Amino acid sequence: MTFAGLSATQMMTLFGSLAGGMLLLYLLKLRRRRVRVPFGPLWSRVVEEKRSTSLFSSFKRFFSFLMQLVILACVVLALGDPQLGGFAGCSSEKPPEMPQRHTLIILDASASMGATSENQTRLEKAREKAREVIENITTNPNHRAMVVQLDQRLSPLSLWTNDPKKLEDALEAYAPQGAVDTPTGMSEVLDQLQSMVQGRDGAQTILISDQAFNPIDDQRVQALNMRSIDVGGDGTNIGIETFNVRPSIDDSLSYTIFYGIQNESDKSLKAQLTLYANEEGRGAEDFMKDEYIISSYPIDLAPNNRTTGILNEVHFPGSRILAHIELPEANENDVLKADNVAFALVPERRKLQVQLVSPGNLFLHASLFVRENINFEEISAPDFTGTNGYDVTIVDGVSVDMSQPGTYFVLNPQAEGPFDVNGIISEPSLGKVQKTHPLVRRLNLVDLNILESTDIKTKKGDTIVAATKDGKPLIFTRDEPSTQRRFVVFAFDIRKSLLPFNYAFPLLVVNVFNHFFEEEAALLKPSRAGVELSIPSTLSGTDVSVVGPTNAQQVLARRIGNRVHLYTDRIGIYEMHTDKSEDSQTIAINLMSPQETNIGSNGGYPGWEPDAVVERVENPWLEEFWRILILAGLFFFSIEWFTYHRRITV
Amino acid sequence: MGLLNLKNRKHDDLFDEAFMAKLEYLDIVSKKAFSGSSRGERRSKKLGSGLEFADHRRYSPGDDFKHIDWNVYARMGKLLVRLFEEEEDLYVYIMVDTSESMAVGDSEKFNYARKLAAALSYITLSNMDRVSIIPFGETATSPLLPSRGKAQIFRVFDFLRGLKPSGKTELHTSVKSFVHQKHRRGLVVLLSDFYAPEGYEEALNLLRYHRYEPFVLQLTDEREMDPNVMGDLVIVDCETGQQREITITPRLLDKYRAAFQEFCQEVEAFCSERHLSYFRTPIQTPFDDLILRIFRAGGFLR
Repeated sequence: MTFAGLSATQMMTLFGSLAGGMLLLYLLKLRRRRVRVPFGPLWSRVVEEKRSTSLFSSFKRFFSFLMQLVILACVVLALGDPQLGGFAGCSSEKPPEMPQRHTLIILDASASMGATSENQTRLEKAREKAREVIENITTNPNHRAMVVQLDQRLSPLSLWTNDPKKLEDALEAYAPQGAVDTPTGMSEVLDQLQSMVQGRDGAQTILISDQAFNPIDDQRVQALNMRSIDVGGDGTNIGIETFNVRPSIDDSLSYTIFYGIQNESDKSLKAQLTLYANEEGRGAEDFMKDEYIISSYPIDLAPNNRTTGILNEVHFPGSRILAHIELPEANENDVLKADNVAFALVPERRKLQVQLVSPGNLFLHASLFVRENINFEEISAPDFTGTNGYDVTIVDGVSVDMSQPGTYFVLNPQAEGPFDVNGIISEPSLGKVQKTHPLVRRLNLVDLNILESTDIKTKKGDTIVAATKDGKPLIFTRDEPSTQRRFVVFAFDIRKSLLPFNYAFPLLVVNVFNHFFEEEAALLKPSRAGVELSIPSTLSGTDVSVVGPTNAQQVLARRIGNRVHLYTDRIGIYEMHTDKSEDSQTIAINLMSPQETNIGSNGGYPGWEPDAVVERVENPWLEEFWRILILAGLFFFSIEWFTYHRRITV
Repeated sequence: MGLLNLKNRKHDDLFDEAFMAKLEYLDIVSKKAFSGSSRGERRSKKLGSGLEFADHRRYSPGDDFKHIDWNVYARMGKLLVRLFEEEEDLYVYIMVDTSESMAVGDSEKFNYARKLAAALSYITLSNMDRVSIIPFGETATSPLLPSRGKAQIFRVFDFLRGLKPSGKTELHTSVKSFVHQKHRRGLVVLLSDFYAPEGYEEALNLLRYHRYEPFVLQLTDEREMDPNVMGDLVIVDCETGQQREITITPRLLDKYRAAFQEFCQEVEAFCSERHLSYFRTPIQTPFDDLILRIFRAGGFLR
């Protein structure tokens, strides 16, 4: 017999104190009350010479006291809520001792649990299975369970308990909004699971999952005494695993998109990739409307394979884009929708304002003219008034005042300029090239055949990109934060070299502009849901508020130093605002997890077998034994009352 | 003039204005109930010079000739003298029990006895008779000497107010003391619960032997007859202080009630056997009702 209410120690303490009080009252009761009567001889007539303090009377009083102790014992025992373990003590055989057990029920809530089959998600199936497990567990009063939710991390939903109601409440709290948009972080939480069951009697873990995660090694499975209930299944699923957007390499206003789509089925599929752009959109439902469609592409997907591709010349307004993959054929059903969308953010592209100060250079003209993202204006040196209104000023072989803040692309610098010119180098040959520098990215500077070059003495802080064999700079950059000037300098006249004849010359000019405006940095790095992100913040202010998609329930954001730490379990585009800045900062969160897209089971873990159910006697009176104890107490009280009724007035 | 000038009297819980009003009412009712009977006078057994013919007896030398009934002599040739009942005032002695048993609990019984004594005194005085009040208890208290006239009622009140209950019921001693004093014969009203450890029989016999007319008024209290006690007790006699340990059960209570009834019936039987007027009343009965019952039963006023 176990006690679900007061513990044995508490009951003994309670009984001892109350019994002591009763004993005191009993002793006080033994003192006879004195009553004055007007005529004693009348009482003498009726009281024969029998003494009321006879042994029998004393025994009767003591018996009453004992009966009251029995009543008290019944009440205290009832407060202990004794559990008879379903045997009710009526069996002639002694019931077997129920083993001490602890079961950790792990409920997977990752994105793949949103897969649907037979009009039921895996999540709902997992909840039903968990209910069966709990029903089995709670037949043993010594068997306690704890429910935890597993997505990218672990969230306890209950304490260790045998109370079916509390466990049912935990099931209700399990992913109430449906599966989250995160991968299963099984490998990250294994240590945590281990610590939860460490040192507990009869510990085991039951994993209720579709097992769409990287397999757990056998040692861990044994250490956790893990049993699994697989709620996964077969089905066709395609998902976006990669979605990268970047400005076109030719520096046009278009974008290049790289995609990777996984086909997790045994057959070839025809899919349709649709791109949407909505500058106000945050969730998928904000984008997936006809008016926001940019373009759509049919894609053939090989069975059980990953299909990648590049989409060039994609034009769209704004900076927010969403890709959606679907199976257009009616007979194909994609069971998991969560991995069919991906978000991307790109910096909005704009045309650069460029002025060319030159006596006339057709090579430069040509390279600038074909760029659609450049508005350029050519002026002569006497007309040069300054850098105001221009993003880049190209100074080509002329001497102008370059003291104003601005970005300068200087070709063939003159002695009157900001550079320390030592003379002329005749037929310099290219010796050293810093190939990792962004200026020469995707370029190979060979066969330049420079006729002559200006010998410039560089300063500390200058970056030499290309130099002669003896180290004289041919191409270098200079940044002067104090004067807010930036330079890219070609130390030679391009017309006196073969550089313009190189087909990569326009790309070199693009690289110069990219160097100034660093659009390279805008290349997307995918951010995942379910991971705590640390984002460099450009906003002032400390209180950060985040607005995300409408289904994002759990968004945690805090600013520490210059970074915002953000956690969310829903994909979409999030806008961060601060209390002191009117600007906002946006971030795109995606799922893009091959493990989640692969909805097939990766397990092979030992299955869960229900414990042998101990048959309970279906009798609420016997199951709640305290009622019988209370009735027994009332019964004894009635006997005491009717038998010793007179004592009430003593 | 009103019989009682109540406004001039001081306030008293025992004999308050309501009590006085009841006395007035009782006085009127008693006069109506006994109209036609003689009032203010009482024919005694003693023969004397009254107007009412009583009997004849043989002439003896020395008798007054005027009392000889000559008509009888003419018819029968015998000298007989006429006897007349002598008219005299009635002496009413009210003996009030002032023992401790009369005041057990809330003194209700003692107060009732005093009110009863006052009422009887008032009606007696109103009938132009004489009233004397003799308290009897353990401590000796001087009696209120016989007085006559309605105005004496305030003396009666003052006297009754001054009584304090204490000690044992010394009925026999008190009666013995009373009868050995030179009192005119008369009606002796005994107001008591008769809880006398030494008994009441001898006292009543003493009164009878000395030619008093005892009128026994036994006061009982329903709370004494049906006490609300139960369990293990020590009962203490309020007069003697004697203690007895007792366990009271419902059965024992039934026996006690029977014993109480038996005790009362013993008193009644003793009185009726000796032709003594006897009344028993619980103090829960309004005292004015009791007075009227006494009047109706007769024997108190003749």
